[in-house]
Amino acid sequence: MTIEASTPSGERMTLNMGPHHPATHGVLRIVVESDGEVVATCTPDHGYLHRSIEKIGECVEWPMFVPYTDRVDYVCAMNANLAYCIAAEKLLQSDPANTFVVPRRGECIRVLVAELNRISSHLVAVGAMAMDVGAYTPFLHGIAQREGVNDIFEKLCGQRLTYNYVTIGGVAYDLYDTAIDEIRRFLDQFEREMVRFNKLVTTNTIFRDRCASVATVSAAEAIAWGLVGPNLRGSGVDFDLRRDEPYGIYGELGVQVPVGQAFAGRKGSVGDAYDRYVVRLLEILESIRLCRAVLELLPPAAAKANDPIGGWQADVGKQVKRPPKGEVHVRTEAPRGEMGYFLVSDGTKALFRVRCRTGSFTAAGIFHHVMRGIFLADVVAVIGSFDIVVPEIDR
Amino acid sequence: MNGFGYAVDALAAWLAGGEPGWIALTIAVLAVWVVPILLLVFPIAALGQILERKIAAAIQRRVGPSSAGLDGPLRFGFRVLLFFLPRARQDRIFAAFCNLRPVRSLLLVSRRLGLGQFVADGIKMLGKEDIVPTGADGIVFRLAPYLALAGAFLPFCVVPFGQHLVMLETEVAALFAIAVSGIVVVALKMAGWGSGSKWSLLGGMRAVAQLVSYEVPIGLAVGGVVLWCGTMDLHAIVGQQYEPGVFSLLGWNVVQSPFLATLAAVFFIAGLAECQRSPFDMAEAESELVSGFNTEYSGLRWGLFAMAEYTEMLLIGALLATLFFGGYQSPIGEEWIVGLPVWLEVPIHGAILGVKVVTVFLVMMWIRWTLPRFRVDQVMRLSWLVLVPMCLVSMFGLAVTLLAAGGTHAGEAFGRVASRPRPDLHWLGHLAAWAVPVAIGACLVVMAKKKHGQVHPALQRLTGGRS
Amino acid sequence: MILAWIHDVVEAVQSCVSGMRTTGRFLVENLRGEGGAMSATREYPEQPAEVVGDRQRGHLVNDADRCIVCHACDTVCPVDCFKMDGERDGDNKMRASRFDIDLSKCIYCGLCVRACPTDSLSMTRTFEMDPQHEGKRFLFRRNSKQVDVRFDAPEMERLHALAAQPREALSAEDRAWLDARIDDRGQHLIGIYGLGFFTPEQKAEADAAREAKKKAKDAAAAAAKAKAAAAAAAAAPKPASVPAPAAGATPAAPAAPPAAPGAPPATKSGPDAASGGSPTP
Repeated sequence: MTIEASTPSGERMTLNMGPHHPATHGVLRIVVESDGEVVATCTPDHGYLHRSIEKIGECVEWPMFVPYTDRVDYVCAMNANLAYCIAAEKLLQSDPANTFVVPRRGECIRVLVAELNRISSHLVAVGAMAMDVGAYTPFLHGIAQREGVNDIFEKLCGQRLTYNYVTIGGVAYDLYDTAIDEIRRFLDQFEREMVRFNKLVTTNTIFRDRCASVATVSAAEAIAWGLVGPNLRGSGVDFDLRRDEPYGIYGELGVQVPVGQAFAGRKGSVGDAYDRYVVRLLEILESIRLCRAVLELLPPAAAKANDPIGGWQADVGKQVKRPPKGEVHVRTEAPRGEMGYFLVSDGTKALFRVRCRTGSFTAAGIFHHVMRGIFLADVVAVIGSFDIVVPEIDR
Repeated sequence: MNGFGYAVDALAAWLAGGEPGWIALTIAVLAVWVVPILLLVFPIAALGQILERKIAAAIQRRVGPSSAGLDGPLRFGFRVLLFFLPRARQDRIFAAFCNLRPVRSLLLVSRRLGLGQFVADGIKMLGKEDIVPTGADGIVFRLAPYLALAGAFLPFCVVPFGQHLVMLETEVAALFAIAVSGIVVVALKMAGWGSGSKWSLLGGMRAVAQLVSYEVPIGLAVGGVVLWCGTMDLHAIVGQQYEPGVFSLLGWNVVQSPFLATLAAVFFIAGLAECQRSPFDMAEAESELVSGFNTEYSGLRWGLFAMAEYTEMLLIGALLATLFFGGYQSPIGEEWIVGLPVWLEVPIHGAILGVKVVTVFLVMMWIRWTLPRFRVDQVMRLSWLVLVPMCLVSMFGLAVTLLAAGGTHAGEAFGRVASRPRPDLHWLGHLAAWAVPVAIGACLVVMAKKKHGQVHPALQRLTGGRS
Repeated sequence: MILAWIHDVVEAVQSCVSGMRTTGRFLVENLRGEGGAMSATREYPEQPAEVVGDRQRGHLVNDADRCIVCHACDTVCPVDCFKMDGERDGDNKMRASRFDIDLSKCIYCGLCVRACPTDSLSMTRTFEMDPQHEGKRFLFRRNSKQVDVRFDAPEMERLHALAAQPREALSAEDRAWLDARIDDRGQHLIGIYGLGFFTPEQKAEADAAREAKKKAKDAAAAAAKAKAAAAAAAAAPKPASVPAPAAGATPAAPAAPPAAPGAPPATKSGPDAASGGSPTP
C-alpha cells in the first residue's frame, strides 16, 4: 500500500528519526520527509557506530582479528567468528604446504553453535519487531529465551555476547560434559515456548495487519538491491548459502529453506514485512531441527573437555604464522544474511586488506526505496522487519 | 437533591452565616465534593500505576518495582506525629515500631510489592525541573495538562457512586459525561501544538483524529443504552437495572440483550481509544513518536498527564459499570444493602462500584501488555467501518426488540423498573431477545469462516498445528 | 463482502483472546513461580551474579610468580592492554618486575590465556568490578590526569586496609598517603589495573586448579607419547598425513609438521623449562 505524499502547496516536514530514537536499533539516523503521517522520502544516515573494524584488521596480526569479528555483529557473534575463520582457513589452505583440516567434531560443533546463535539472533529480531509495532511483551519473552542460548554459550566459552569461540582451524574448547543434554533440553523447552510466542504475536490480527503489504519487495527488486538472507527469502527467492554453497557439514544436513509465500493471506503480498518476519520464525524451527541433527552426527569426543579442537590458538602468539600470499573471498549464511569476508594477504603477519560484507548493509540500502508512501508508524516496523543491526552496517 | 446536596447547602449556609453567596457555595462544593473525590481518585490512580507495573512485570517474566516499601512514608509519619521529640528519640521509637514482628513482615511485603514506589515517584516528579522548551508556546504548553486532568475528572460528578452519592443529578448526565470528556481532545492538541516539537505535533494530531472519531461509537453505544432505558440520567439508568431477588445480576443491561452486550464491547473498545491506551496509544507511541504529545513534558506536568490517563481509565470503567453492569448494585441481591443505614450503605455501594471499575482497569492493563499497536489508518477504519456499523446494527436490533416486546423503552417493555408489575411473558421474551440475534449471528460467523477461514499451513505449523 | 467483514471481526476477536490467554497464563505462571515463565530477573546487587560454567571469562589476572615475561600475551593481545618489564633473578630466570593489565582496554577475549605458556595468566570466575564489593577494594585506578598510577602488592594491601576504615580514624600520614591516591572527584579506586590475584583464597584456588590441570596435561602427554611410540613401533615409519588426530591428544598446531609430537610436552612440561619466550618481540 502506498500513498502519494503531497499537499497542494507541496509542503513537507523533515523529521530526524534517530540517532537516539527508541526504535532505530542502536544509533541509526533516518531523515524522514513526511507529509503529516505519510512518508515522502526516507534517507538513512549511517556512520554513528563506525569503529574502523576493517582497518583494524589490517593492523593486528590476523589470528588476533577473531575477537573483532565478534564486534562486527554482536547479535550473532558465533556466525561472525565462523565466517572469518572459514575465510582464514581457505587462505591458509591456498598454500599447498599447509595441509590441515578442521576435525570433524570441530565442524559439527561449529554448525551447532552457529545454529544456536541463529536462534538467539532471530529471537532478538522478531522480538524487536514486535516491540516496534507496539507489543512489548513478546520482546522480553524472546530475550528470556535467548538467555537459554547465552547460558549454554557461557558454559561453552565463558562469555555471553562476544564469544571468540570459533578459532581458525577449529573451536576453542570442546563441548562441556553436560552440553548435549542441556542443548537438547533447551531445544525441547524452547520449541514449546515458541508456540506460545506465536500465539501471542504472530497470528495476532493487529500485528498481521500492521505488517501485511507494508514495504513489499518483489523478488526481482530484492535481487537487484542485493538483499540477502531472510530478507531475500522473504521476497520469495529460494536461495540459502547453507544449501546452495554448503560449507562445513551443512551439505550433509539437507537444509530446508523457507521462503515468503504471502503468509498474511488475502491482505498480504509476497515480500512484505510480514513475510520477512514469518520467514525468520520458520528459520528458527529449521535451526532447531538442524541442531538436533548435528547432535546426532556429533562424533565422540577425542580431546579432553577443556582442550581446543584443532585450534590454532595453541601456538598463536608465540609464532604467528604468516598467511600465504593471495586473496580469498568466503561467504557464509549468517542470521542477517550473507556474511562474506574478503581477505588479501601480502605475506606479512597482518592482512593487507580485510573486507567484510554484511546483510544489514544492503538491507539498509533499500530503505529509501521501500519507505516511500508508507505511514510514519510503518517506518519502525519496516526497520524491524529488515532486522538491521547497526554495528554491522557501520562496522 | 440527595443527602450530600443537603450537606453542601448546610455547609455553605454555615460559612456565609445566612443566605449563601457564590463564594460560600464554591467553598462548600469544594469541601464536600471535590476534595474527597480527588483524595479518592488520586491515590487510586497512583496505586493503579504500581499495579500496572507489577502486572506488566508478571506478564513479562520480570519482578517490577521491588525495593521501595512503605518505610519512608511511615518514617515521615512518625516524624510528623512525634515532632515534639528530638530526632534521635523519634528514630528510636520508629525502629522499635518497625521491629515489631507484624510490622516488619508487612514492611517487607510492601517492599516486595513496591508499594512505596508511587510516593517516591511523586516526590521525584515534584522535585524535577519544570522545563518549557524554547520553541514552545508557553501558555498553551503550561495549560494543557490541567485541562487534560479537568477533562478526566469532571465527568465523575455525574457518576453515581451510591444511592445517595452523586454529585450532580441531572437529566442529561450521559450526555454531560461524553461532552465534558471531550475537553481532553483540546488538551492533547494544545500539548502537541504548544510543545514546539514535531513529535508532539504528530502525537497531538493523532490524538485529535482518534478521539474525535471514537466519540462517535461511544456516543452511539450510550445512545443504545438511552434507547433501552428511556433516560439519560445515569442514576436512573442504574435504577433501571435493579432486579429484585438474589439474582440481581439478571437485571444488568449487559445481559438484557445481545445487542446491549455488543454495545458494551464497543463502549469498552472505544473507551480504550478514548483514554489512549494500548492498542490505541498512537498519540504516545513510544516506539514511533518517542513519547508523542508529552515528549517535551517533565516533572509535575508530565505527572498530571499520566494521572489524567489513569483517571480516564477509571472513568471509562465507572461509565461502563454504570451503563451496562448495574452501576453500584451488587450482583447478588440488592435488598440487603438498600435497607442499611446511609453511613453503611454508601461505602458498600462505593466498594461494589470500585470492584467493577478495578476489574475493567485490570483488563485494560492486561490488554495493554498483550496487543500490538494499531496504525493510524487502521484505527480510523476500526472506528468507522467496524464499531460504528456494529453500533448502528445494535441500535436497530434494540429498537426491534423493544417494538416486538411492545414498548418504547425497557421499563415499559420488560417491566425493568421494580415498582412496575412485570408482564407474564417476561422470561420468554428475554429468551427470544437472546436466541434470535445469537442464532443469526452464529450462522453468519459459520458462513464467514467457511468462506474465508483458511490459514496458511506455515502459520499453523508455527502455532503448534492449530491456528 | 459482509462475510469478509464478519470474518475479519471474528478473527480479530479470536486472535486477541488467544493472545490474552497466553499473557494470562504467563501472569499466572509468574505469580506462582512455576512453568516456563518464571521471573527471568536476577536482582543483581542483592542476589549475587551466578557463575555459569568453569570457563567463565571474568577478570584477567596474572600470577606474577609464574610469569616469565615471555610477551606471548602482549603479542597476541588485540588491544595492547599489557605493560610489562622483566628482570633476571638469582637463578637467571625471568621474573616480572612490572606487569600491568589495563582492564579498561581489555576486551576479555581470552587469547592471552590461551597463549600463555606457563599458565600464569588466567581469567577469574567472578566479574565483580565494583570497588565497593566485598574483597574487591583493591582494584587500581588511573588518576584524572591520565597518568598511570601503579601500586605494588604492599601498597595494595595498605590501600585496601585504609579504604576499609572510616576517614576520621586514619592517622595524618595515612590520610596524606591516601589523598595522594584520590582523584579529583574524590574517588579512591576506579579499577583500571590488575596485578595478581584479589584474595589469597582465590590464589590458592587457582593454584590448585592449575596444578590439577598441569598434572592431567602431563599425564595425557605421557600417554599420548607412549601411544605414539607404540603406534610408531607397530606401524611402518610412515609420516601421518593428517595431524588432526594428534591435535586431539595435545593441543599441537595443526599446521605443524608431523615431527612435532615430541615438542609440546617439552614446552608444556613446566614453567621453568619454557624460558624460550624472548623478553621482547
